[in-house]
Amino acid sequence: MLSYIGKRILMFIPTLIIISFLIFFIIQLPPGDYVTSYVAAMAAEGEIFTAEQIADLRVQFGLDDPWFIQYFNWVKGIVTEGDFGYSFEYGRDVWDVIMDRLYLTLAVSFIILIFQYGVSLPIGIYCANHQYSAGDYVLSFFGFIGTATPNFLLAIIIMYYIYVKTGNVYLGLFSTEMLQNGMRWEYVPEFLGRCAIPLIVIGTSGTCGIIRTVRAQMLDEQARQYTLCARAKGCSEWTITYKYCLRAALNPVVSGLAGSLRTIFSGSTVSAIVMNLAIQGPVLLAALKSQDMYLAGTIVLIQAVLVLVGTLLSDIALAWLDPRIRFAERS
Amino acid sequence: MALFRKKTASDESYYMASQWTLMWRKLQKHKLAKFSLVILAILYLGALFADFFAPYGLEEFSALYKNTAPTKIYWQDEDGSFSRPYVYGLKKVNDRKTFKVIITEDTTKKYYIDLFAEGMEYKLFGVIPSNTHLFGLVDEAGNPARDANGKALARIHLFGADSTGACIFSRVLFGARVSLTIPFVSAAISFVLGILLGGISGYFGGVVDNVIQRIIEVLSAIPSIPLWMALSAAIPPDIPVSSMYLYITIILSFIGWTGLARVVRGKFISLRKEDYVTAARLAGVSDLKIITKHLVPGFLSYLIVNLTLGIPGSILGETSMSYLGLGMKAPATSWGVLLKETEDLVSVAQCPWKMIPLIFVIVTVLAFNFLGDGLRDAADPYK
Amino acid sequence: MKKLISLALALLMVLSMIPASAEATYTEAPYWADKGLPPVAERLPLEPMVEDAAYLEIGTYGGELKRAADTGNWGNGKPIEEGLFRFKTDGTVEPNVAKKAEPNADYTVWTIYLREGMKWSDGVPFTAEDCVWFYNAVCLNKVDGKGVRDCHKDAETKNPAKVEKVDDYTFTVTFETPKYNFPADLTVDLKWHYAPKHIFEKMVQAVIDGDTETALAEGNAICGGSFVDVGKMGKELLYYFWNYPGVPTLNPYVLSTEAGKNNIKGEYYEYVRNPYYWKVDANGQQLPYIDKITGLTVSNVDQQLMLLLDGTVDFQTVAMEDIPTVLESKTKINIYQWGTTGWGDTGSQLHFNLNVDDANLKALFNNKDFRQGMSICVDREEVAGIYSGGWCLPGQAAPQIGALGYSEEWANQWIEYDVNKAKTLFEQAGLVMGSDNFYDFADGTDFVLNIVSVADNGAADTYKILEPYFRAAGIKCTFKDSDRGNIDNDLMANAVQCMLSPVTGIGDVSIALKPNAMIPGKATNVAWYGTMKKENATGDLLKLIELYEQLAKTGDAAARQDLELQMLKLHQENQWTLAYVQSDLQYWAVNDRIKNFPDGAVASDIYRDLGIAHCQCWFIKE
Repeated sequence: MLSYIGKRILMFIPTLIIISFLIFFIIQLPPGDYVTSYVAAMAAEGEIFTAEQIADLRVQFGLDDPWFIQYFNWVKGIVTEGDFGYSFEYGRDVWDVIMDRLYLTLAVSFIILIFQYGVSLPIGIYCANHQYSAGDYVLSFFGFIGTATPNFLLAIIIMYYIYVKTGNVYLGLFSTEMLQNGMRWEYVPEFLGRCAIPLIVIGTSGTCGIIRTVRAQMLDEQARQYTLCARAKGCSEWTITYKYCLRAALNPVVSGLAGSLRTIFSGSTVSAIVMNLAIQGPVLLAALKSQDMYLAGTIVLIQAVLVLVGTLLSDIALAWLDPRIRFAERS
Repeated sequence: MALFRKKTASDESYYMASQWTLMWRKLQKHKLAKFSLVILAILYLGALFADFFAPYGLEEFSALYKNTAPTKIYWQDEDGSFSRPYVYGLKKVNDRKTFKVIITEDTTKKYYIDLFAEGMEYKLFGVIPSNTHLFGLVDEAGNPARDANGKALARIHLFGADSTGACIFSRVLFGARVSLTIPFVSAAISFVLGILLGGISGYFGGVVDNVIQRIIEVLSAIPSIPLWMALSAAIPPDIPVSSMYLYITIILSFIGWTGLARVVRGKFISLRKEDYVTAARLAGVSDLKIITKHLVPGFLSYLIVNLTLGIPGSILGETSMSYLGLGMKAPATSWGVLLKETEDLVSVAQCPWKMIPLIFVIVTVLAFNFLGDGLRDAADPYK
Repeated sequence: MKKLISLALALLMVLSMIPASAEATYTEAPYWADKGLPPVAERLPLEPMVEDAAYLEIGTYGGELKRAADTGNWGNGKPIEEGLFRFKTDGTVEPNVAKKAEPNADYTVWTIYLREGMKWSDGVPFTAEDCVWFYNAVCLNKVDGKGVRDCHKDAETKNPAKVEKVDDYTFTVTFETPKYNFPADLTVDLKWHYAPKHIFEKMVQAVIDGDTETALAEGNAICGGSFVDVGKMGKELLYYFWNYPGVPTLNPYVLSTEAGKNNIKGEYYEYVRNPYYWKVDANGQQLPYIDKITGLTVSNVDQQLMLLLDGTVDFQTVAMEDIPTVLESKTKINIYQWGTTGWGDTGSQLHFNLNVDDANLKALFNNKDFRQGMSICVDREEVAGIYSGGWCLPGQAAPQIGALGYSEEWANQWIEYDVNKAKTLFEQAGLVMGSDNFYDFADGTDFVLNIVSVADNGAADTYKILEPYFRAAGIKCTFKDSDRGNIDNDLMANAVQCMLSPVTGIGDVSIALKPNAMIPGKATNVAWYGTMKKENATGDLLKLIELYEQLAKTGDAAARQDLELQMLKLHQENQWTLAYVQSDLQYWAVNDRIKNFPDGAVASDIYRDLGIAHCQCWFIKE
């Protein structure tokens, strides 16, 4: 087992080299570079650059080298000094920029993840145990409706109707007072209220998939012979559901965990933009769009590492959940 | 098939029925799924015959009808007696004090709703030329409500008009052509690749598995937004927007199969040591046959769920892409474009009818999901 | 003797009265009470600038001005910017930081006089040294990433001017040949002409010496930053100086130095009143009235609008179609209408690249008949209605009413809708109708008008409306919108053929002051003449450039205006660029509690957009 994990971790190295190369290649692939988008952003505010100034900027940012040399320098910095480069946009170390929003992003993502699984696992199990009942239909319907509405629209509709009802707009997680005075106990109720909107909008967007998967898997497992056998032996329904069926039914859910880990790091981009959440997603989008190479590259690279780790973790979890899977057989 | 089932609906036929007949029968038990199937059939028919059902073309803009609410349809004359359904034209005044556009009905002239009315010319299925639309407006004399230049004198907008004065009902129908087909393509490609590569990886294991797993890891690390930007910049402008969108979707679905592949692989690993698989192998059954006949049916239910999640997933993906300014763009229309246009506060506050396309997206996504649930239950071999 | 003594005493008393009375004249905000600052009279210059425009009410102190913005340098900078001179809405220049400017007889030497006793926001005196050092150390060495601006370049030789200190409050700017309009040019190009030498001297010297390490250490110490690149740091600290805590300014508001409020890219930031601000109102109250400007970072205009509705934000530009929603909100919000300067709505402007590489296209675009055809093949009434909901009228690319060069004839030039005449004109321009109902070139090659635009500026919607008209007239078009950066790149590579809703729309305050889109070669991102410069210009375009060059060498006001009119006349005759809809006004939605917001100002970059509203004079009345 340990040697298997060791081997897998060793395999990360070549994979990461390929991934980082591809990431860097793809980020610079769209036409233009950071200077183009920088000049454009400045021009939008009325500042005009001459061709000479633009050339200077390119030299200043080191963008006059071909991209693979930029890539090489970047990787060299990471390997030799742990230096991930600096963000052109922020003029600061990439790592500082990422740290700015890291904790809030992780907190928001975890809360949402817990919400998603907390809501959808019970619904999925209930729907499987009560197939074709009114409860099955009603719960499925509510589970689906969040997924069926595009997040950006759901967010704006909810925010507008809250404004119409209360006269207040709840945009972002923190009110002006909170940002001005720091967090205080009296702000907690409002803060929780503000959290509710993103929770509903982002949380419900993922529930449908989990409900559907769990329901389908549970129904499969319930009809299996081992379930029949357990029932014949006189196991309680609770044991059958949670100890046997659910364990097997979780297989695809756990397989999907690798992807979840990646989104935890960046959070939902579109919803974060619409609801003005200060999380990583919009930073990544802006960096990708403006070709802020090192910032975008680093965030995507971290996501890639998380995908790798997530994959490994989910493989381990799968083996633990399903005794039929054995590592030794594969390695 | 339905006819066939009716004729032989007896006990005996149950045992004789093929697997597909059984599935169809079980599907019927899932009422929501049946209902969803009907809804989807209607939507696809609507998309197929959009030219005929839509009273107006995508380019029939109108300054007068800009941002106007759904047209009010009257059934009664001024004296209260029943009449053929009719509508009024509009008058418009810009009030510089309140900054409001005041639109009132011009009650001097009635326009009657007529079935199979004449309208914009089109080619059904791209070949049969016609100008008959399911419904349209005519004046008292029965002539189409258009002036000499073919410009509409009055219009009927069931869902209101957008910011260019175009008919939202018509746009929903035309948008369905994109939104109901392209997601199918991308879901299908991802689906096939996912099963194939995930299956190979899980079934054979060893080096093959290792290589495919690394490919999956690499692919799932690729950020799709810059890729999308690069591709849309690379495609020349004379290619229509919807084709461009199709191409990019196809390209991206080549990296979108990784999630499914991992699940399939996981399933294969857990199933391939089952006794029945070993038995089949010992009996000399070919690998391909073991995969298709023994392993895949073992988790068909999951695959169906995945496929029917994938289609609404890419319908929604299209709307998100439109939101980010990377998806479909005007002048082409799709449901994503329609939703993108309602995303601003003014639409939500002043023109709530612009959100009608949202209902179509929700209904479609729900229908696919419920149909998927029904299909899953029907495909369940144990019940 | 006694008399003498009493006289002397009386004199002494009178003398001692003078500073006392001066102190009594000026008052300060309660905000500064008990903050341990010197008395307000000592903080103000000897002759403070008095903000006494006719529309201003005398205000009261206190409160916060609440904003929400996309993070942008100029969004924060322009409203509080203080140039040596500033524009009034009539296009004339008035002294601001500088007291006055005087040319010598032949306009080769300009003497700038500063206000005695003026101080930086940290209390250190502001002197001519700060202006002279800024030019000689920062501009000449390009430490601020911008270098010497056009206003400091000689009209003939393009050599940089000499800037020398005369005394603490006087400096001179010397050119080789006459520079007739230096104060206005300075206000357009450079604006401020100063930097706090006492803060930046070491850093700038290190940059000049190439000592990166010291420069970074110095710079990061000033602003508590973590810059890793000297070029970026120089530009940020010396050009966008208002964005960094710890950098003294002359502005009414200075970025807070408190953690959590001092990062304009963070979620929330504050600009706090400058204790040494050098302007007073008519009653001698030190400005600004409002204590703080607070900023929330939001991601789009809709969010700003929502926050405006619930009173979280005090003011915001809004689109015409948003106004009913704003007026219906529970918060009382007033709408102020500002003039604009564009020749026709930028969104509906069509620019042809007159210097396009393809010979066929170049001949066609330079043909007046073709442009007229493209203009009249569109039903402007309908387009304007769809485009603006009937608020903007149909029109042509021409100066607006009240602007120099306006004529009704020009404003209505080529605006009739006549497809048949358009087709005749296309044929006169050498196009031949092909079998596919689209025009081809005379040599049989397909004519396709490839239109580009910047994504997300609504051009796709305009194109959607215009294209059916072009098609009906036999013009085959394609459309592609992409990122602004890519469009700029293409413009510089001369790869753009035709542009809708151009990056830089044609028309501005004046063809003399800001000629960017009106004279070839004046800006890098203008579409209508492509990369055309004087070398490859011919005919009227060459004439236009020559007239503009002549302008720089003309001092007499009447002669200058005559030149401007001649240039505008050339534009009228040629109508190089088209517009289909007249320009819209700019609408400001302002919370009722904010007073002294000007109505009827003019929105223009050279007026510093919101800067012309002089936010230091606003006050809050709940």
